[in-house]
Amino acid sequence: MRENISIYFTLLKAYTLGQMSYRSSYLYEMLGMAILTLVNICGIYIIFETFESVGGWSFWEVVYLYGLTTIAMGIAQLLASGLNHIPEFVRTGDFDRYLIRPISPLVHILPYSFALHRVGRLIQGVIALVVSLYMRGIDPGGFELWIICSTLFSLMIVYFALFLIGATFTFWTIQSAELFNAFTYGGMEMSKYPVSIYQPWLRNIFLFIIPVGFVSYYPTVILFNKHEPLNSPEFFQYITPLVALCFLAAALKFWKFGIKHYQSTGS
Amino acid sequence: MIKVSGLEKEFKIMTHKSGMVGATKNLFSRKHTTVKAVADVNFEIQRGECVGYLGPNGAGKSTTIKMLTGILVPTRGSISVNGITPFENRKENAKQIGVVFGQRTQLWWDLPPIESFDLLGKIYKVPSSKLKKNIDNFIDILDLEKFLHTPVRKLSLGQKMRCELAAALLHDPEILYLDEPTIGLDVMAKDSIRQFLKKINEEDKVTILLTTHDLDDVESLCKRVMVIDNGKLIHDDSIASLKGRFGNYKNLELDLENDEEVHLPVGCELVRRDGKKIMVEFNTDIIKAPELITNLAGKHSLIDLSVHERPIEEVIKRIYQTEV
Ligand SMILES: Nc1ncnc2c1ncn2[C@@H]1O[C@H](COP(=O)(O)OP(=O)(O)OP(=O)(O)O)[C@@H](O)[C@H]1O
Ligand SMILES: [Mg+2]
Repeated sequence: MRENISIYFTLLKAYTLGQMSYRSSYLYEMLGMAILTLVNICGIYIIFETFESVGGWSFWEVVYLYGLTTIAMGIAQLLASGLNHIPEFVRTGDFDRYLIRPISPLVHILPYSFALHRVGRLIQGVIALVVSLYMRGIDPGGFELWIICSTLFSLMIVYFALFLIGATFTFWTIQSAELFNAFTYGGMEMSKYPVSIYQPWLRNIFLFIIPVGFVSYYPTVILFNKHEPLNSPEFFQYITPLVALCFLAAALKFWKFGIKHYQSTGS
Repeated sequence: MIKVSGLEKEFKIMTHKSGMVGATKNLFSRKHTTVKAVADVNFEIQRGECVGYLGPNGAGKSTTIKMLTGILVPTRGSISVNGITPFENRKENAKQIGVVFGQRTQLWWDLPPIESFDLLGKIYKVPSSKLKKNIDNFIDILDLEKFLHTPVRKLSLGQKMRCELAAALLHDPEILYLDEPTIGLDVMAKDSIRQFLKKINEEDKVTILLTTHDLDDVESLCKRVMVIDNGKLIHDDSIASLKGRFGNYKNLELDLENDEEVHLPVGCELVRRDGKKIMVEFNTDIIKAPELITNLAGKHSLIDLSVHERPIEEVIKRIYQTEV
């Protein structure tokens, strides 16, 4: 594991040094992101103007969920950006070279690109999170910090696993991968609101199949001391990191299975 | 060292429908045709051998190599490389093999070769003193000094191929797989690569499996040749026996004084005629060269003549044709 991490950073350095120079558009991208965040939060605000609360959750509590999702998604995208190259590697057969190395193809591919411009997005997520905690009157002690960090960690792991699953589908067809990514981004939209407000079938998908709802909803219920209308077992609130890691393990299994289906190319 | 038995690979090719509706159907349909790229291939390769792997386009050579290296999972059959099954234990297998695909680079496109070598050293966990020794050695014998600091994308094909070879051998693999390593190279470049391969095979006892369409590669490097066609192994023996496979044939080239009709004795066949120049192929089991020459010299007035071994190209062409 330590060796893998060291190789990851060595490769990361080698790749990013070459990229830095032609990214003068950073500033514009950051600006665009900032506007998008503002629009998103205004969207949430408009909903509250009309309804006062969403499923018993106040405006700032929902902004907190928005912040969580944005940060976790941001970090996951940052770590997984190398996976975006997989469709191209599979189509051209360049994936071959990652299979003849004595390290995991993931360690080799993940550092392939590092979308630094997404850092801007992360910062906005952090601002949303901190402001929402302040406005909601949460005074972060050890317990609260632990919940916030473990939720972020779990949610990030789940998003990363979703990206990995999406990339794995390219070993069969590119279209199936695109179809799957709809779930990933759908999941991102879902976890911006408490899952209790959704239809049961939809809710159950995002609680128990693709657990983005599970890892963001239950710990937040404890954090804000909310009434939990689903009557789920109480231990759900404490096992989110475990659920996230299990989901990642399943995603890795699927990835290994997918590699066995890799067909390379005829020439 | 390498043991392959009953090896098969089938590719499923989806039948694609066009248009929006077709594309949606493609997503769910399981309709496909099957191409059998490799069919029941068996062979063994011993340590230190250098084996040529020949066959026409689409015969299944690259597919075999991809299964041996662990890139593809066989549909049926087994492979054991030093006791390791490549596709089940890719990482272990990777440590003991070096791979060069002539059509594809193993180096980092934007980095100079020396940096690629360093990265590979890290990836293969080659101790740094060993790595330095190997790099220096390859710089020396492959003459890499001049372009060591030029990004790979700016190198010529020949320069790149020399770097590829060095890159594939940095971790001292026991086995080297080469898929068309001389493709697109000029005579000089081909020659230097052949000499290098001969050296590492003879001195360092690296086992080599080589596919190529250039039979000079095979003749100068390999004692043993395997020929595959349509996925089936149709020959696996020494070069000499490959040549002798259709009896012992030789070629006789004649320059006639007059443009006249030639009557050949039994055991001979006219291969080609270009005015007064004639190429005859004869079977030495039926008629010996002196006998044939005496025969022809008696009937025609000859200006010049020469006798050749049948070139290996001709032999291979025959094998491909008879198997179709
Ligand atoms: N990834 C793939 N998907 C589908 N069919 C494939 C694939 N790779 C190879 N084939 C088919 O398998 C057969 C064998 O191909 P292969 O590349 O092994 O031939 P080859 O002997 O290396 O030929 P060449 O001399 O042209 O390189 C061909 O019919 C080819 O079309
Ligand atoms: Mg080939």
